[in-house]
Amino acid sequence: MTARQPTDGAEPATTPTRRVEGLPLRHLDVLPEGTVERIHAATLRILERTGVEVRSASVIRRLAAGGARGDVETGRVTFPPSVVEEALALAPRTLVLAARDPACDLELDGTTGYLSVDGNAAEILDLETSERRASTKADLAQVTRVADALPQIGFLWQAVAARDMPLPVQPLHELHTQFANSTKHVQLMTAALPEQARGAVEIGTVVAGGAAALRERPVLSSFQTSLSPLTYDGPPLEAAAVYAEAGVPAGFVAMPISCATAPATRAAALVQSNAEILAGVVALELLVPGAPTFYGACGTVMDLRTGAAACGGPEDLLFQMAGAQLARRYGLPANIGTFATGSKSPDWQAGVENGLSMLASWLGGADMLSGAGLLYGARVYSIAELLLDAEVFSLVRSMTEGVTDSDEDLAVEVIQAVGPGGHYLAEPHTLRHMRSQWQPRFFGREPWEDWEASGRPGPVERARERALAILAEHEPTPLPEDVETSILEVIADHER
Amino acid sequence: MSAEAPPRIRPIPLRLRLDLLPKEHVERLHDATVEVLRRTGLHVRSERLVKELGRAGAEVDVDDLRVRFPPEVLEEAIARAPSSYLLAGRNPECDITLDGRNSYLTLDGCASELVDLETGDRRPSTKADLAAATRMADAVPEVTIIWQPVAARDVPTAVQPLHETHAQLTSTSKHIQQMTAIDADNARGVVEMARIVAGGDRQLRERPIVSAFQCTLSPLTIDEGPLEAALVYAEAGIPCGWVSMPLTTATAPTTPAGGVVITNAELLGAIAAVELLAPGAPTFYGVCTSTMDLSSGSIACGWGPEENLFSFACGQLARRYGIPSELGAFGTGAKTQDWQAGAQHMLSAFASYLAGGDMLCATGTIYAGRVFAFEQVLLDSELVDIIRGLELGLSVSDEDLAVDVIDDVGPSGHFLAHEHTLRNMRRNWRPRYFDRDTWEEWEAAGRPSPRERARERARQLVAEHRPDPLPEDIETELLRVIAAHER
Repeated sequence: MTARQPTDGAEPATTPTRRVEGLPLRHLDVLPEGTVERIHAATLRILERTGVEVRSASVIRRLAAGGARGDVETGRVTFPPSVVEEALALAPRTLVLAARDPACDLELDGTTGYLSVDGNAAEILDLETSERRASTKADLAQVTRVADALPQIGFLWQAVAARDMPLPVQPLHELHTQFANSTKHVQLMTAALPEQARGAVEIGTVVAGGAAALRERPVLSSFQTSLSPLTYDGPPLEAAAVYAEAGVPAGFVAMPISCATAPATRAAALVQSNAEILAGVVALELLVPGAPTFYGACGTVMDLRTGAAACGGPEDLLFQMAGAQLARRYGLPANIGTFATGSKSPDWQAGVENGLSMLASWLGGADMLSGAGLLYGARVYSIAELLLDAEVFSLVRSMTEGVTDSDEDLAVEVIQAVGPGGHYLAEPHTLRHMRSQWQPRFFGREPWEDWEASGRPGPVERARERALAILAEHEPTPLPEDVETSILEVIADHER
Repeated sequence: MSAEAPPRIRPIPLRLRLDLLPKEHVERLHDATVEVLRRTGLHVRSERLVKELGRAGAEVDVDDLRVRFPPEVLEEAIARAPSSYLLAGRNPECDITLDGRNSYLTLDGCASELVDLETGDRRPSTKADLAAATRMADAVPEVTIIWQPVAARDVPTAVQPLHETHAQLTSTSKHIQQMTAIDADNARGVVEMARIVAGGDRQLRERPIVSAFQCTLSPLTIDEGPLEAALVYAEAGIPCGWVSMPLTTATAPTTPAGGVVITNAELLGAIAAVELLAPGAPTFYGVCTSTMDLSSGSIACGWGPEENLFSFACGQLARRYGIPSELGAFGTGAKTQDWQAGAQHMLSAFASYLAGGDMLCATGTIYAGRVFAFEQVLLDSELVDIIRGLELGLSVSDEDLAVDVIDDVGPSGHFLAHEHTLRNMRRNWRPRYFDRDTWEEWEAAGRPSPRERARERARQLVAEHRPDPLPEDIETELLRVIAAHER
């Protein structure tokens, strides 16, 4: 801390609010070691025998050259266990997700978790009308600006799709609007074609101030998703390689749905998810040895009645904790799907599901918690929900600080002085410390009568008001004009 | 195949545990507590009992009504408390043993108002409401211990606890934890009623179908009535715990550690007092420590990080002493079943579960325990169901791992119609109140919330559920006990 010291009787400078708050992690192993090893062995068996389908002959050839077994005819790539182990050993153990504002740099070393804005919804609950509608680039800018102001948000996914932009360059527009509206780290999830990845790297280079600067301080990271079961399209793997060659972290996220795109049993869903993620990581390390990458798990089960992703039951929570534990087994940073309520509004169900989801990711040890603000099984974005999720994060984060036990904290002398039957309201000890108590922003504490008189307002209304206030007040540090111009040129270039 | 009857009670296996505090912190909290009890001590508002405690080994100041505990006296007294015991149900299927292997959810108490099941409005509670709420809880397997969710405000105050006990003994065959009898006379009445239902003094000792608890007054005070009542229960073999409910900043220091020290000192002091006068009495360590809302000066109405820390710290302390714990959970300041209630209930329940609470208290109230809502019990039962589902963990048999099935389906296939899916899909958790309709269905139905579904189910249970009946003559005898105490 470099807070100015008062020199001439002036008030001490107030501590500036931290721009990003990390979550001290616990590593509570939900799976016994034997279970982890059974899952690992089954995963190796799948990778060796069943393998993955890779929908690109050129990628298959490159992987085969790197040591995998590829069959261009069948599109199948299998990985001998030794190749898997050797490739995994090449991945770096820690990552730095840098940011335009170095105060927002995130070091992923297993001790601290960071929350992202969730993505990538095609619809948003309009902040004014609360109605569901298709999302635009302006919506993404709005979410990003709110997130920039929230210390609980560590990095940014593309909350909503910029659906009003031309499809081929939509991801570049999304990247542009996020860099322009926040100085936090951007994790780009929407550029799944090599051409788009090249555009993203160009934009990242401009923002970072050169290729070397981007490599040293990647203000941008990325991930690709598998197609469950056990399939990768060619372009995402090529895109991952483009990122990796530029020093931009390129993770892999599996999102299987048990009963539909994964087996019905929990263990098998974990095995398949693990196999898909490891296949991506191993493929990348074969293509670009030493590439910075991460392990992303976001599994759920199918709702048997509707056939849609259920989102929010105990299976999801187990997948969260087990996913983080498996990532640790491989020494890879974990990006764990968190806060994905199935509810359609920020209601009781959303509170329950997201409260428990938060605890599961914290206890499991997720380096990245992704993320805040989605409703309806990740299909609709809500800025109110973003703020409410941030409140849950803030509550749990405060809890992780534990009970400090200095003599001042234990207050035995104060207890003796007040004695039985007294009160602590006016004690100097109380005045010294009472402000360090956690303060909610959206929990209601007003008397019942006041609540009824004001029309029974809820946390959602308070969160919406707060979002509007942030949007009115918060001005993110703008991009330098020449950088902005260069980014637009990159987009124009790629649009051609 | 005949449908299997659902279990009467569903405990939460304590297989995940988190010791949030390092061991050294727990010892520092313990040492500070011992120092407070040695030097500051407790104010016990009964000259008679202060003298008795003095004779039993405590250091007492009769003029000041102050009781101090030399560390070795404290330690020896605490060691007398049993670490495990039975809480029986009138129906043995509802028996509970507190042994650290399971967590048991209690029904909340003791709100003076409730949300009317028909109108949805808040109103004062009656004995009939208490009976209805108890009857519903009898049908909800996740609720395993019955407190008095609402006060019987329409009966004479002097024997209100006995009316409440009567309403509950006739409305449930689960274990009842009596919290409203806080003087010797009412405690004696409760014991008499429990003996009648259990079949006698010896039967009640063997199978205590009722337990109880008393509250300390923060800071560091015990009233005469509760201590006398605790001794009446102890003499009858009825487990009687102690619950401490300080409000940090007001009745405890504002620092979380100071809040824990006050809580721990009150509980250890009260438990030591009982164990000095009634050695070996079964008791428990109950924690309901909360923070003050700095803007209003009232209870913060909100379960925040501090409340969770109190659960974690006190759960660890209770284990250190080998005394069963009852930890606060399902605390919310919300006034309806909204996001706030969901988040606070889930965070508090899971924290107290991870903290290893033998009993989790309690389900059914909103607005910081002041208003009872039937539907809240059912919603909370869903939440417990999720925690239990998480607990079932992961089996890794070959059938579970399904390596051959994955190979069989292969990349790009799907599992929807695979035999393995059909065999196993019903093992996945299914919600009762969570909404999983499509957006369009939901809008067409008028955007129903889980609350409406739960309220509908509550109405059904209250109307239809028939608890195990009491023989008619026993009910007559219970009424006779009330009449005798009313005089």
